Amino acid sequence: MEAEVGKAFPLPGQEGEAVVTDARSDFMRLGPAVHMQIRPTGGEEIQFWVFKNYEMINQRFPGFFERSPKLDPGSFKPYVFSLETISMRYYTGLQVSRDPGVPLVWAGFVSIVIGLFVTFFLFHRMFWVRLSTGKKGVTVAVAGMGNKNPVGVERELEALAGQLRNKLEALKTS
Amino acid sequence: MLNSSEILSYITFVYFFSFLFYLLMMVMGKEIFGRLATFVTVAGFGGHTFAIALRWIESYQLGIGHAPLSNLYESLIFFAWTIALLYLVVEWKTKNRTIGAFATPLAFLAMAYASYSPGISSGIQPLVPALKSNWLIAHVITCFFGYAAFGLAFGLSLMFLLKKLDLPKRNNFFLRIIPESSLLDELTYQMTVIGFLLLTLGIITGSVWAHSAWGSYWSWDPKETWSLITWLVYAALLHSRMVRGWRGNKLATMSIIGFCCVLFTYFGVNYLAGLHSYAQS
Repeated sequence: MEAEVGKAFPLPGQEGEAVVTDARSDFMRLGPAVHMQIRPTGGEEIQFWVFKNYEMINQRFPGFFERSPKLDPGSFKPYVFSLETISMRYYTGLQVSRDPGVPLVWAGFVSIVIGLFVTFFLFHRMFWVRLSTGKKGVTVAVAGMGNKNPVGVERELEALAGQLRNKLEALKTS
Repeated sequence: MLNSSEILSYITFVYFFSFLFYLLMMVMGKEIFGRLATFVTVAGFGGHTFAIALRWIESYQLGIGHAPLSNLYESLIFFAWTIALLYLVVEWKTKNRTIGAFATPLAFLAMAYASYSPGISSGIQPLVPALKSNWLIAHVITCFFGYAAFGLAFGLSLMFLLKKLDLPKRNNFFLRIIPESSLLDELTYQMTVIGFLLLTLGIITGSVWAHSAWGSYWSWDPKETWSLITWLVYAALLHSRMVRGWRGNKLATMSIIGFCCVLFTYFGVNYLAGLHSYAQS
């Protein structure tokens, strides 16, 4: 007879029902096997494995099926179960997702990158040059201010002041 | 005919020699060693580029056909390549060779680890289904250029801290030849900005890719979590400099801590289970 995994069927002699709970194409490296559960009417439920290669296993490992009632296909008297074949059905699981918010996420990513560029490469700074006449001549004072990146502003100011000093010294000597 | 991984194992020694020449230049004070070091590094980088291209071609000949960025071996090779490239750009821009003594050992170590560690296989394997995407290239390139920039910032921070030991009475040539602190400070900052922008792009490309491959932008797998920690450390560094005007010792220390986080993001998380497990071997 044919049985499907998980679907109970009545035993031919009306002693209760049986169900195949698991099917393996290779169980304990001994070939195909199914796990069976017998629920007798008004009795303890019993479970055991039924191997396809009964003869071969019995030859290679004498006494294998007597070792435990869980391995004995004749555990439920008077029946003896045997497994003719297992046919597997294959299926594919697919996950489908719908994300209406993707453009919003992209807009977020783009604005992070633009924001970082603005933070690192664009900022306001002001520079002043003050000329004051004293007794010795004209004093040139340079000052600068920025809304962020004080270190960068300082370096830029130093570079500008250096250029100015060079120009003024060139004028002096000429 | 040599195959790509054999060539790359020789390139390891080329980087070792360029490190040696940079070191000799700094200890002996002879310009000739510096020129030799630059020459060896450029030659090594050329060979390195060739070997990566060859590996790409080899993968197509095997019928697998993917960019050589798919496992720990290939990523280490690419990491060394980005460090070498970025260092050569910095040397060319600053006309200063002393940084080489602190940058080339990073490239050498990455190459040596890739080529000679017993746990890392150098074979070309087919891509895991999860990696079959054009985002692979964008994600790996941005992340590793970011790592390389942080690596250079780390080297520069070490130089900065060493330079503090340079006292006039000590008269140590090695320390004296290290450029002045302000230049190191500025370069560390620039490298960190570049690294930070690229790490941000790397995290973004990674999460866009994760969304298409795994269905979720962010899954809190260990690598993601640690890349966030790294990102926060460098964000703190840049913030303290831009807003509080911190510089010098504090920033150099933060940059070293940041690079330790980078290393943990790269290697440490391999000991934790997670979605990025294909990067382990």
